[in-house]
Amino acid sequence: MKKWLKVVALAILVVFSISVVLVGQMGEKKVQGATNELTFWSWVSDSDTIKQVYEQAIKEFNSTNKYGVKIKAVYTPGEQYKTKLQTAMAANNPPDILNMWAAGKMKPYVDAKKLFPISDIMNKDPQWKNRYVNGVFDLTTFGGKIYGIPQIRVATVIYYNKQIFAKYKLTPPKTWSQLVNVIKVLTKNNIIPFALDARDPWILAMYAEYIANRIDPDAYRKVQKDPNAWTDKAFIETGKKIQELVKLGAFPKGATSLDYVAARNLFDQGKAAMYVMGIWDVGYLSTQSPVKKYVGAFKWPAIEGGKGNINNFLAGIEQVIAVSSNCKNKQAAAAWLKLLSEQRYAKDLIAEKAGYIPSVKVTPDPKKVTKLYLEVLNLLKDQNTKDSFTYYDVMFGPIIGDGFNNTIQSIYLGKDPVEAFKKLAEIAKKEMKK
Amino acid sequence: MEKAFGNKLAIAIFIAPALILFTLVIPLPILHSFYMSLFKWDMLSTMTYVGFENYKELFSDGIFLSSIWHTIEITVLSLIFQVTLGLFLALCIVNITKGRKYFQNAFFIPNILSSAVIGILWFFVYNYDFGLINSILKSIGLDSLQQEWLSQKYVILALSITTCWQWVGYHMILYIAAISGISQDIIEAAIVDGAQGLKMVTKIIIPQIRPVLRVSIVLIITGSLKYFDMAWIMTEGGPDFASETIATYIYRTAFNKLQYGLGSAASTFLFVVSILVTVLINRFAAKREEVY
Repeated sequence: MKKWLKVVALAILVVFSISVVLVGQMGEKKVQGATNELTFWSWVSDSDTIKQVYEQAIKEFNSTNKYGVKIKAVYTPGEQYKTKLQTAMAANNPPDILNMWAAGKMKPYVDAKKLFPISDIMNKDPQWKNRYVNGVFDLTTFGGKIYGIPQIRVATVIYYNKQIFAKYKLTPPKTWSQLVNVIKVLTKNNIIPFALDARDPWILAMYAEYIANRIDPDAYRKVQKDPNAWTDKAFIETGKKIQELVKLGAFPKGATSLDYVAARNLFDQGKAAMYVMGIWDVGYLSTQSPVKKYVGAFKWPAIEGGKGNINNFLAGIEQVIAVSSNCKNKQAAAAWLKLLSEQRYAKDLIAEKAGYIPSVKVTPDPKKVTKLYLEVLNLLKDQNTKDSFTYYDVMFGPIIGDGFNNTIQSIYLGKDPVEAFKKLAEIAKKEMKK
Repeated sequence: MEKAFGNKLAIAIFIAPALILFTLVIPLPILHSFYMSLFKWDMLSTMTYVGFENYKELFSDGIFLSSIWHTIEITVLSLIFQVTLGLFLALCIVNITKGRKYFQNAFFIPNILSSAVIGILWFFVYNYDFGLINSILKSIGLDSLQQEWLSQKYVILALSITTCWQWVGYHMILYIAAISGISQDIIEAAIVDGAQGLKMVTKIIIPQIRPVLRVSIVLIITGSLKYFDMAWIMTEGGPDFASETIATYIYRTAFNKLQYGLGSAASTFLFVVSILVTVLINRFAAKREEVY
C-alpha cells in the first residue's frame, strides 16, 4: 500500500514539475523573428482596399529604407484580431506596429503603457505632421501625446434615394418637423422611411447620438466627467424621440431580425427611402448598389428648440496605426507611417480608388471620384468641429459605450427611457469609480 | 510481462506521458480559469486580487441571471423537442421498409452542416419580410399569424427549433440503433400478450432503450448548458439580451468588455453546474434502471 502511495506521489510530482517548467517557458517566450524585421498586425481583409495601400507601402519601404529593416504584415480579419491581439498583449509579446482603435477603446492600451507615443518623433518632423487634417489626432491623443495615426476619416450621414424623394415631391429635411413630415408621406405610400438593422445596437445608437447632439451638444461633454449626466433631460428626450420614430413607422417591420446587409438591401431595392450610415458605405453605394444613380446624402436635421447645430457631425477616424512600446526600431516604424501619409497613397489609393476620405489633406481629382463622394465631402466642408462628436462606443469604451448602445436598443423595443438611462448611469458610475 | 505490469514504477512510467498531457490540456486550464476568476483583469494592466468579488458582481447582474433563465428554457425546450421528435421519427423509420435509408439520411443531414451555416440559414428562414415561415403563412392566407420570429417574445423558441432541426437526426439514429437492438423474442412475446401501438412503445420499447435515452438526455442537457453558436450567429444574444445564454454572457464579458475575471467567474459557475447536472442525471437514471 505504501509503495503504491509513493508511486502516485512520484507521478504527481513529475506531472507538476514538468507543467510548471512548460508554463514558465510559455510566459517567457521572447519576441521571435530577426531583429531587423518589424511585424505589422492588421485587421483588414482581402476585400479592403486599404490592404493594397499597406501592401504597396510595405513593398516600397522594404526596398528603399535606410534602416535596414523589413516590415512583415500579418492580416487577421474580423473579430479574431481582437482576441489575438489581447492574447499577445497579455503574454507580453506584442507586434511592433499594429492596427488600433481610437479613444475609449485605445485608452486601456495607453494606460497599460503598451503603446509608444508617436508624437515624440512626429514633433521633430513638422512637415510630416502638417500633412494631416486638423483635429484628426484628437481621438488618439492622451495626456498631450499622440499614440496612433489614423488613415481615414469617417462620419455618419443620411443617404437617400433621390428618385423616391422626387416622386413624392420631398426635399431633404432640415428640421425635425420636416423629417417627421417626410416619414409620414413615405409611410402613407408604403415606403419604409429608414432601412434599419436593429439587431446590431451600434447602428440604432447612431440615430440616438445625433438626436442627443441636436437637443444639447453639451450632454456629450458632461457624461465624460459625470456619470450621473446620463440621466440628463437631453438623453431622456432622445429616448422619447427614438420611440416617436418607432411609432411613426420610420423603421422596417422585423428590424431586429435584419442584419447589416439585409437592411441595406431594403435601400438597394428601393423599398426604403433613407439609410443612416457611415461614409464607409460611399464606395458601395456609388459603385455597386442597384440604386447607385439616385443616391444622395444630407445632414442630420436640427431639432426645433434644440441647441445643436445642423453642421455638427457624428464623425471619427478609422484604421489607426500605432507603434508598440516594445517595438525594436521605432524610428523605422515612424518612417513607414510617414510613408503612408504620402499623397500617392492618400490621394490615389485611399481617396480615388477606395472612395474613403483620408486623414491626410488631399484634393482628389473630381473626375476620378464618384458624385456621391463629392457630395459627402461637400457636406463635411461645413463641419463645426467644436460641437462634433464621435461614436459613443468608441468614445466611452466597451462597458459604458456598448452599454449606451444596448440602452438605446432596449428603448427602441419599448423600455421606459427614464428607467433605461438610470440603469446606464449606474453602470457608468461603477465603471468610472475604478 | 506479468512482472512488468505488477511493477508500480513501470505503470507510473507508462502512464506519465498521457497523464502529463491530460493534466496540461484539461484540469490545468480549468483550475487556471478558477484562479483568474479571483482577479480583476483586462489583460493589459496588472491583475488585482479581489477575492470572490467577481462572483458577487455576477449574481447581482440582472443580465447574467436572465441568461441562466434563458439557458434553462433552451434546455427544457430542447429536451422536449429533440427527445419526443427523435423517438417519433425513429419509431416511424424502423417500421418502414421502402426508402428507409432515404429518410434516415434526410433527417441526419443537418447534423453534418456547420452551426455557422445553419445559423445563417435559419436567420433567413425567420426573416420578417422574405423569410420562409412568413412567406408560407402569407401564401396560405394566414397573414395574421406572421411574426417577428427573432423578437424578444419568440427568440428562445426560434433558437430551440433551429437547434432541434440540427440535432434531431443525431438522436434519431441513436434511438434507431437501440430499437433495432431489442431482442425479437421480447417483441414477439409482447405481441402475444396483446401489446400494441402506444402500449408497445411505452411498456416495451422505451424501457428497453433506457440506457440510450439516458445518454441522449445527458448529451442534450450538457449541449444546451453551453449553448452558444446559434445564439451568437443569429441574434448575438439580443435583441436587448433576450437570447443571452450563459455561454454568450461569458464571451461578451471576457472578449467584448475585457472583464476577464468576471468572464472566468461565469465559466467556473457553468463548469460546476455542468458537472453537477451530469452527476445527478447519471445517479438518478442509474437507480431507475435497476428496477427493470
